Amino acid sequence: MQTTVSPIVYHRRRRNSFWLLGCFVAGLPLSAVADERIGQIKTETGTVTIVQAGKTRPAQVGGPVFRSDTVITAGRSSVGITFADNSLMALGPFSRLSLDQFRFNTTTHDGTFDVSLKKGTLAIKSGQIVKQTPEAMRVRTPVAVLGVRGTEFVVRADGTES
Amino acid sequence: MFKTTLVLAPAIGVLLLSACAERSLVVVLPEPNGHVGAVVVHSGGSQTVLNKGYAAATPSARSANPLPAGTYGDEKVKRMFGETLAAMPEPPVSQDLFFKVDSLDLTPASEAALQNFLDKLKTRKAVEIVITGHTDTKGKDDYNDALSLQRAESIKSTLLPVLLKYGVGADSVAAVGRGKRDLLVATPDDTPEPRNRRVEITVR
Repeated sequence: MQTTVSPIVYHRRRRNSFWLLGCFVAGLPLSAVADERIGQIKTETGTVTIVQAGKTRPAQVGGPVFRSDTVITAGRSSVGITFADNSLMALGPFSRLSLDQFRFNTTTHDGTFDVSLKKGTLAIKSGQIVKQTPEAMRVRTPVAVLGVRGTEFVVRADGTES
Repeated sequence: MFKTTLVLAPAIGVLLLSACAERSLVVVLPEPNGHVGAVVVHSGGSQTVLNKGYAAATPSARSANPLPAGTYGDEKVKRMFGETLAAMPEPPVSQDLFFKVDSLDLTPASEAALQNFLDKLKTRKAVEIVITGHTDTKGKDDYNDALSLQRAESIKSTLLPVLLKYGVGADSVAAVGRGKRDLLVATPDDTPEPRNRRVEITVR
């Protein structure tokens, strides 16, 4: 059984104070608003679960994802998610992605979108938030912050160069 | 017990070492239309901009560490990210719909386009529909925001029974208004232009 760690506790374990500060600030609004539906699961293979406030639910095609959900895939498992601004994401096996922040105005397309890939592999095609405001989407990994200016890209969070 | 410790010691050493060398990998992909955007990698106070197809970096806690061009290519990305990319949802598809003058009836061409569009729903799973209203540049922003939303809402109510036949329920259909922010035909402000008075239907 995998232990679930809240974003703040998780980052306390990191020694780098820059990260502690950055994630603490980013983490603050999370607990305040957690029930906003921001996307939908479109593809799934294997075993995929979603953790929200310590509660785990199975992911299923057609099911919602909410702000501050953490999406977790097992081995030989993957999941594809569409978001309200038409961003697309896919998680590969043994991955863990937390959806930290999502704000989107459907009229102006202003917004912000922050996710953290704690481990595993992630593919992203950015959507209307980034088209309106480059770098309004940020992807955090344990060692970097990626500012997205509008493109398709892949990220691995536990990678040593091969 | 002693034996276990002996076996574990090197393993723990390796774990510690790899923790110190923790790196991420970022690879920017060329898009099918040839367009490549950019990702800015910030790490350890340094940054690098990846703005070419297959441009890559392996950031560590200390630096953004861009890799030489050609380090990653199609083959290598497929090998490392194949399962992940296979899980990508289908990209959203949109269709513009136009109306007869002073009417909420679609033009015959748009009727046909709508039917064509709806047929695409059959092959998609967990369909969501977004109906986006647009106006021309005549009138003030607030007015056009309201008008575009009204237009989208109106089309939404017309389309709901049709969409239901395709298995798409009301809670999967959204109406939004973009006002005059997204002109199909660029015009100066305060210009009537029928082609900008459109509704865009998107399946996601």
